[in-house]
Amino acid sequence: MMLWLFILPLGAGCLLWLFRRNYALSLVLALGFSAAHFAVAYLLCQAGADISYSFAPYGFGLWFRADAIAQLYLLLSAGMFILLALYTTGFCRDKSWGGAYQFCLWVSLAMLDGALLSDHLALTLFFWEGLLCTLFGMLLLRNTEKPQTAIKALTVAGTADLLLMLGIALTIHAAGTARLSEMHHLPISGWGAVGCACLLAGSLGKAGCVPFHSWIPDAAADAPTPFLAAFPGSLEKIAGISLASRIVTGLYDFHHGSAASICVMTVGAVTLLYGVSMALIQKDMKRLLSWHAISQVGYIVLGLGSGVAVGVAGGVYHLLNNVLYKSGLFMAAGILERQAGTTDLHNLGGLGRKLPLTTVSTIIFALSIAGFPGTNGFTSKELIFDAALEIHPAFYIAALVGAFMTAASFLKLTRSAFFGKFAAPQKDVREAGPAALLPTVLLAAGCLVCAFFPVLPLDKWIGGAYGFEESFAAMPKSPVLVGLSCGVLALAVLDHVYGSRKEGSALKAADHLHYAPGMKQYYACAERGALDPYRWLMGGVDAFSRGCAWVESGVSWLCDTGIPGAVRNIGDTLSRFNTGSLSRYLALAVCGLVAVGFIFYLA
Amino acid sequence: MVLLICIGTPLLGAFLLPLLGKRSAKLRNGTSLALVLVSLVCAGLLTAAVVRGQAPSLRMELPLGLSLGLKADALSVFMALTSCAVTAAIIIYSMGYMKHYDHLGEFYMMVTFFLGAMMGLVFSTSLMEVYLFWEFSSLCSWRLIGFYRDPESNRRANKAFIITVLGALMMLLGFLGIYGATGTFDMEALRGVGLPTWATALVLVGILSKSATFPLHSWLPDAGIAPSPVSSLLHAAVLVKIGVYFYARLFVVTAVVAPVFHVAVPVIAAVSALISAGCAMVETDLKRVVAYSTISQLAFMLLGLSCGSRTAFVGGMLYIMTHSVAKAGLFLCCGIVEHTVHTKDITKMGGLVKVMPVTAAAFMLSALSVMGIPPFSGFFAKYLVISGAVEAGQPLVAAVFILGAVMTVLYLLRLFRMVFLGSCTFPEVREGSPAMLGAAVGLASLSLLLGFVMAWPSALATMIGGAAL
Repeated sequence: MMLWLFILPLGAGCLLWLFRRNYALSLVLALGFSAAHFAVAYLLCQAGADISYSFAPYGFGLWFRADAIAQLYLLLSAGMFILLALYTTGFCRDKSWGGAYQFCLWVSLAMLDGALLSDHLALTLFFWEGLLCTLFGMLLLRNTEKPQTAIKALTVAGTADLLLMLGIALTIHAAGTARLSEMHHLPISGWGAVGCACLLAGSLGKAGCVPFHSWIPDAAADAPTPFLAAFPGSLEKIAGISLASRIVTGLYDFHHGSAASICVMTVGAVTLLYGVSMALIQKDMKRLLSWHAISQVGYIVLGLGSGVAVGVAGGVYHLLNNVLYKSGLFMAAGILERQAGTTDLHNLGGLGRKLPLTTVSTIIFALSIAGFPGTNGFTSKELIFDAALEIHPAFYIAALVGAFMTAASFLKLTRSAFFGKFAAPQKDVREAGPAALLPTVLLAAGCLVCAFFPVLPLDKWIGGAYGFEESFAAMPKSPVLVGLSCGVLALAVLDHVYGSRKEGSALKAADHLHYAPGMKQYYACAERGALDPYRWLMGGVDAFSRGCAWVESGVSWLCDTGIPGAVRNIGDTLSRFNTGSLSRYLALAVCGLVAVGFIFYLA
Repeated sequence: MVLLICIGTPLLGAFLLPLLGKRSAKLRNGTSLALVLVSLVCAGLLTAAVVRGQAPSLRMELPLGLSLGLKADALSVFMALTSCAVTAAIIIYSMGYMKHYDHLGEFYMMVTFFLGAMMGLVFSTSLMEVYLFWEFSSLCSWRLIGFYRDPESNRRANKAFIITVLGALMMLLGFLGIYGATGTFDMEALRGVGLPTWATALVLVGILSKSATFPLHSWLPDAGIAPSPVSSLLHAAVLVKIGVYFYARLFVVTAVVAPVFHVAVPVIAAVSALISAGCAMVETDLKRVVAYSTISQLAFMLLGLSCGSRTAFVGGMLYIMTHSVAKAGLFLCCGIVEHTVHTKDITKMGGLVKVMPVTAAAFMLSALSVMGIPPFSGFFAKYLVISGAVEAGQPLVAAVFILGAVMTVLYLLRLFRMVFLGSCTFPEVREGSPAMLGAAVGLASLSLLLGFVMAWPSALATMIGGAAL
């Protein structure tokens, strides 16, 4: 049965490519195959399964295992993919690149299934890098003239994957086995620490964590919206966080408050603050959302890195919530792009009455991502806040600052796009067709279900998968922390009101923060690209390459000029001895004999 | 008998080709391909025999305790199969690429003779035979690099010849040292015998010069002046693999070397991998970029074979095969591009994916394999080499090679971007001839296909590794 998880997506990808011009059939195929895929995933989770089949030496066999953690992520991705498939099919209608895009997307699903179910680290790497291939293909499809983003994505994600390769090799060496199910609490010391760090770098890099994030905002400009909903929005995060959660909960001996924990949380905090601060100043909806896709990973990593049960549960629950609202937000952005012709907030406004369902859905997503009380995002963030405070107040403060900026930027976004006056180009705007609207509305409904019934996802699914005994679904225990969170959100609302009045528009509500002393210089640096790790990497590579070219020119000079010149000079010198003098020849012969004798003596 | 046919057919048949060329070019080209295919079939038969547990061999005793011999084992048939398959693809490609050039009689003769020399080398059991075939290959490469016969081609051909022959002479001194210490040139007799360190070092110089490893590598980028099929044959399929093959044959499968070489060679390889990758990043000549890439990837093979772990050894052997296929594919694609746009300067190219989509796809498939992205065959080899280096207790070297792998991704992407992406600079050009495209696409597809049937070559590589480590 497990093999159907690969056969179905691969078959669907081929068929959708083949019948790309028949929209109705494409819709039926997309829905049918994604539903069948979900059904197989569900049945597999009910039955549980282990497959071990070696097809090559040194671990390159099929070693799959549907344990509780794999089941959790498998169902999440399979369920999410039904909506993604529907949305993508609608979006790709009449697009010349649609068939190839659909093929890549479905192959990605097969790769993700493989990565989630793999019980062998080498096999995980195989599927993991397979995802890289499809990512590159999807980004390149309609951008062959502007391939920078695809190149950047492959470079950045490829670097993370190569680090993962090193981490896998070190981990296998430390554990003496490559089977995940046989690895338990490996010590984080010596090369084991390097292995753990590389594994985490690879997995968090896949999820879009700093410093492997920089292709995501660029993709917002170049990639189609279904790509953003599928990759930075959900599938890559599911892949990355599933592996990271395995590393911190069982693979390595990851204690809360340890150096490893502090390092991971620091990465999480930096990701969160950098992502959200960049999101705050964006004036394009897709770009703003892409920066939030980064910042939300920061929250998840903050939770996971704490190493405490409440943090891990909060982190994984935040992933689930993020998949719902972030994919939903990208889908909503896609609807705006298609119906209003732009996602530039300067040219949007007053769409609330024209696009009521999209507007309501976006508001639900925005409230959830900002963590307003009563939403699913609130619950997961509070759990992460608890864990952050338990490790160090600095992490808690970072999380609160992130919450403030998230709320401020979504207030700006929703008010600019959906409220106020109509902007001129949108007079004929109306709701999108069901293929785009239905998934968006269903995701909003999913957010509400998670908000009102957190016991099921949080305690039953996540708690069950990770073996947590306590319940996290009840109201957060500390009223003080809840009060502080609410206070921060209230502050964000006040700041938005202040900014809007000061600058005269909701879109400019964050400008006073943008141009505040210190922040202005920081943003100027960021806009110049000085904070882009990709640029650092390429700068370093460029300098290194020039050094290598200099060494190479030295070697070439030696081979082309130096040594031949020396040989010529020696020849010229020796030719001077060729004067016809017998005594000189005799002296040379004696020298030669002495040399030969010396060699024999040495031998 | 099969052994003799495998070696003798291309080695002797090559001399018929210029004569046949006087009657008909097609007959000459077809005969050349047929000679290579005969070798390929023989290599297949020998592989089947080796898999069945047999070891076909021939032996002739000579005075002074010397001997000549040929023997097929897992390592030799692995190399023979890889070389023959890639050479066959290159000859098919040449039929389209070379048809407008002069001196084709010499070209086909040298290519075919070259393969015969390679076959002789891989099946030899004596060091003196190895030296003989080694020099045959140098001679062929000298003529092939200087194919155009202009002063610059001649200068570069001379450079390649002098560096590899000087390396071979050092190796000969090393062989004499081995003979002095052990009293034999016979590799069967050397099995399990410790070699003198200084002799090992001298042989290593010969290997490094042939396999274009830093600092003896500079002939290889210069050899890119030759026609693309020659570059493909020299850089990818045969010549540069001779060195790494012989490393595996003498220092891993046969004799025992001092432990210092398990550290020194990986370090030399690491330096070579990084420096050549850095050069590939700034180079603007299409074929020189791929040539530097070859130097860098050869270092991965050398790491795999030298670091002393079985996993890495198997990875190194698979690397030889997967890189041969993928890099030959890359060179053939470069040849199509060069042949079509009449320049090798990548700064003048761009957007060719629009007018040459098949070539672009073949290039990308081959490049993905060289980068080591799954499910391409290169992934398995790269992973096993890195994993094996860690297993051998050299995680630092493995980390350096990870940097090398990152650089590989960077320079190949840069090359692909500059040649095939962006706005189209040559809107009027078209794809290459069917023979050229067929060979390039065939090799690129093989890079992918091998990834799915990795069980077979890795079984053979494991058999070699099992005998060696």
